[in-house]
Amino acid sequence: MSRSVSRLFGLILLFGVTILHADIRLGGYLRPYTAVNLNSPNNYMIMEEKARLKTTLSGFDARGVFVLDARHDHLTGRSNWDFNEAYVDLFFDKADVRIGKQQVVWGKADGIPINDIVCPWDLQDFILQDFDDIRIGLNMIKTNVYLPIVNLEALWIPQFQPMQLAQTGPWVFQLPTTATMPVYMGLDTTTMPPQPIVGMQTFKMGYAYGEYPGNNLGNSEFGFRLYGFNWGFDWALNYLNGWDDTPALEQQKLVTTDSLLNLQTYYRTQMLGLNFSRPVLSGVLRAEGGYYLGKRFNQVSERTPSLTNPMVLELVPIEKPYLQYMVGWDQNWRTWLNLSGQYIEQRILDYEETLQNEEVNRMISLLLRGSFMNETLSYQVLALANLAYEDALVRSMVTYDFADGLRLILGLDVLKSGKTSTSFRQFDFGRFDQNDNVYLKAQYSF
Amino acid sequence: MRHSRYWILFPLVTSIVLAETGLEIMEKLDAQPAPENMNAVVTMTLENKRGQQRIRTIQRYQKEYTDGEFENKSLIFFLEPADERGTGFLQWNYREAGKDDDQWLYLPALGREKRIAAAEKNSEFMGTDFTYEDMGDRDISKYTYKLLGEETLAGEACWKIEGQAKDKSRTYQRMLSWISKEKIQPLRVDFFDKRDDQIKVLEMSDYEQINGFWIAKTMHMQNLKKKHQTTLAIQEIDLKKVLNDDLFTIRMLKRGVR
Repeated sequence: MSRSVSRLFGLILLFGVTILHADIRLGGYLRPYTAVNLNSPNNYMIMEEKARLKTTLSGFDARGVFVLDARHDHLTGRSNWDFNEAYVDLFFDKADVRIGKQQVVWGKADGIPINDIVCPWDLQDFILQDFDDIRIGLNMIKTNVYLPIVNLEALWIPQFQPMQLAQTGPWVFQLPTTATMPVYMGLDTTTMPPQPIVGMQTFKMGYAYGEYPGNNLGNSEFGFRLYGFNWGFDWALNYLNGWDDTPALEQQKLVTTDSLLNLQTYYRTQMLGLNFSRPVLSGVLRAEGGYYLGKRFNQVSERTPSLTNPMVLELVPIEKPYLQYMVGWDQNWRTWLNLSGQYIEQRILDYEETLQNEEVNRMISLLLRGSFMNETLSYQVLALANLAYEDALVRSMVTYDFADGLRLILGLDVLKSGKTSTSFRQFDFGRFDQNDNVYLKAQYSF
Repeated sequence: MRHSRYWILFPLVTSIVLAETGLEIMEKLDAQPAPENMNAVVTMTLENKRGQQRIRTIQRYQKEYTDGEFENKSLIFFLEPADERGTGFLQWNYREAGKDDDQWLYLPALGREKRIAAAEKNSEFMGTDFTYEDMGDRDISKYTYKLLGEETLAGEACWKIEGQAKDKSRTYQRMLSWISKEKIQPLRVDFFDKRDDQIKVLEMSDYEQINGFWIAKTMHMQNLKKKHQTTLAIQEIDLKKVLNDDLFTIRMLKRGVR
């Protein structure tokens, strides 16, 4: 569904529920946001105003929620607006149904999508957006049925929506524009037996979408979640049958003698996940695992060259089972000192050395936070590190509640580079190691 | 383990008295029935030493159970300030001695509920000057009490009772309580630390009898050390409407009630 259709859908819902309304509540915020790069020449990275208007209409065991975001970017001079969410809730005795554009959050992991893959991420500002901004709301029907022992959630997403990557600006995910590769240049007939002559050639790289999931019922996504609270555990068993939010590089076609076209293709995947949390001693233990089928990884393999297609190697996506899991611990000592730690492991099963991705990547996250002055002043330090790729992100933030509804946020993001990678990684901090920045937000909520 | 049964805004436990007369008073307090259902809108006014005020408004639902697995369940939603609106807190308090409460926090920005450990009893309740211990049930066997005499406070005849902690690790080592003889409800409590310095003063006023229960509609806690104070004022209260068990669930925590 295009953005304009999505907006129209939201407006129709808003109008439809308005005429039926029993109670209307308005809320939202206005937030200027400026970020400056700490590296010379200290470019502004973000200079924008954002306004959010949340309208809630409720009555007759139903509710309409409309979250409208408007944003003006001073650096590009562009303004845009869209519904972040626009849905209608229907409440029954033992069931709820939500219809419309909505965000769905699964899992117990903080900031790392293991089971939480229903809604794709908007990486226009990499992973530095607020949680409620980073997920892209999807049009879907979601129902929850509340049973005595367990609850069941079922969702159906009629249309595929991929992850959004920045096309311009400091957080653009730039695929290589040129590549130097070995090519077949003919046979050396002076030797017996004749040996192929291989030389290096630099190609211009172009990218296009291969097969993109079309708008039909067969390409819709669906999922189930069985969840409950038993024996002190909050647990959930998740299943999602949908599309991988990120494309795999499908193949390389020689367009001219010195340019290659790479096709990006989306593939259908399945995820089976389990997560739980439980207080233990004075803390909370969290764990989450996800097993994925149908996920593709890029593999460099040899091919039989010819003079018309002299590529000696080719990049092909290969399907491999994939596993991610997380173990985390939350500890609250005092109002001014709380600690959350997570260990995450990502593993490609049935691994082959020709794959471009590492077989195993381990990540750790550490979150320190607390507040002072009766929660007027608070701080947060989040550190995320990829151990296999040796890169890291440290986000520090101080928040001061200047008055009720008026909050000042001063932050510092530091990114550290490690091993470079041409494959897409959601937490590729090293790619953006020149984007250390300091920022200031002032948020007025109403 | 015994817990007091009298109720002001939240169940506030008092004491057990070793002296016979004091014990009788406290048993009367302990025998005060708590409302089974409560739905209240409460304004919490926080004021720092410079006189700057911040106002939080919450909606609190609480259900007391006379028997079964649970002692009580409560559900709190932040209505104001705007940047906290929608934040919810669900708590299940168990009857079984020593069993920790189950608690969940819902932050709208996070989009999901988060399990949290039973709160550190000494930590501040949502930035106020009340600790979780001040707001909830307190194990009365942790203190011994002595009747010091009778005094008049705010025009009411009161018993003055001293409570002494048995355990040296407790934040409040000594408490002085003024209990109204007419209402059998506390009007004031002074709190003292390990060095016997007074650290807090709690005053309860604007008592009103609602559906047979004495309700203090205003509670004022002054933190003498931090020179910070919090006033809790009940704006609306309903003790009649029977609250369904289904209200105290994660479903409602995420959905929001009001």
